[in-house]
Order: sequence, then C-alpha cells, then structure tokens
Amino acid sequence: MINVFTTMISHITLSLFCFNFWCCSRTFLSIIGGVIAGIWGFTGFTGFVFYFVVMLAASFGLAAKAKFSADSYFDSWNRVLLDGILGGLMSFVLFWTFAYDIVHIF
Amino acid sequence: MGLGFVVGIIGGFLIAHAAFSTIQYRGELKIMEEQFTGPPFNVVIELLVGLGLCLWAGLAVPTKFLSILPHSDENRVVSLPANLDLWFSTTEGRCFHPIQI
Repeated sequence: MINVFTTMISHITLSLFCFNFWCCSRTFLSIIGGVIAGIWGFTGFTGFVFYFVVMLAASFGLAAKAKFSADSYFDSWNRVLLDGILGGLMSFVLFWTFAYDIVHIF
Repeated sequence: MGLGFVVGIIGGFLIAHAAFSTIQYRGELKIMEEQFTGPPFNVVIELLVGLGLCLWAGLAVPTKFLSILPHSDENRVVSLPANLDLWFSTTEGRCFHPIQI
C-alpha cells in the first residue's frame, strides 16, 4: 500500500516537474513570437496565425525532446500538444503590440 | 544548459538587430515618402534565424525530462526497502454496537 502511494506521489511530482518547465518554455516562446510579429509588422488575423505556427513548432520540439513517447514523461499527449497555448496567447499579444508600437509607430 | 543560454542570447541579439534595422528602414521610407509593405528580405531572414535559435534555446535550457514510469531506468525514485518499522493497520471500528431489536 505504501509503495502504491509513493509511486502515485512520485508520478504526480515528476509530471508537474516536466509540466512546469514546459510552461516556462511556452511563455518564453510566446514572448519571442510576439516581438517578432511586432517587428515584422503583422496586423490582425495574420499575427494570430503566426502565433499558432510558433506554438505548433514548439509542440513538435517538445514531442521530439520527449522522443515522441509522451506517455513516458507526461500524463497524456494533451499536455504536450495543447497545454499552455491559451495562456501564452496573452503574453504574445502584449509583446506583439509593444514591439509593433516601438518599431512602427514611435 | 550553458550552450542553450548562449544560443538564446544570440537569438535575442539577432532579433534586436532586426528591430533596429526595421526602424532605420522605415526612416528611409519616410524620407522617400513610400509606404511600408514589410521589412527587407535580409531582415526577415534575420528574424527567422533568431526565432529558430530562441526556439532551440527554449527547448534545450530546461533540463531533460524525467520518466514518470515506476520501473524506468531513468526514474530516480528509489523504492522503499522492506522496513518493519513502517506499517499501518486497518482497524475495524466497533464504536457502534449493533442495535438489538
């Protein structure tokens, strides 16, 4: 019983360990993507398309880092492909507008 | 991890240089009274290279993933040895006496 409980705790802890690092990576890449979109001069829908392209590349990179066997490091494939995308969208928009204003307006 | 930081910093410098180049390009367009349609091709390449470097850094800087499988060789969790001091017993509580009708 103790071994089962210990295994569960270690499973959850390691999953959160991987997940926390991955959230930081997505946030960083969202910021970088926003700055690039602002410098490039993207407006409207094009900027959001660029964001999802960057997130797609990030998901592919994460899957490659997990050796395309996400079950060994995460609870499910959703954590690799989907988690953190909407949270990074706010950071992307913030730095997108910031960089666009600096480069193209001020 | 150190190489990832250096690559990320180089990517950041490339993006900053691209920003300065775009600002200068816009200044020249204003002088020539032309519309801005997009940054020059070399600036676009610089932005994409900076994006690639930052993407690599964002994935490489965090340490490698640890397997969550209990029987994996990468798992650092050590199973508890047989320890007779740790035990728990389930007690069947008998605080309520059966009601005799």
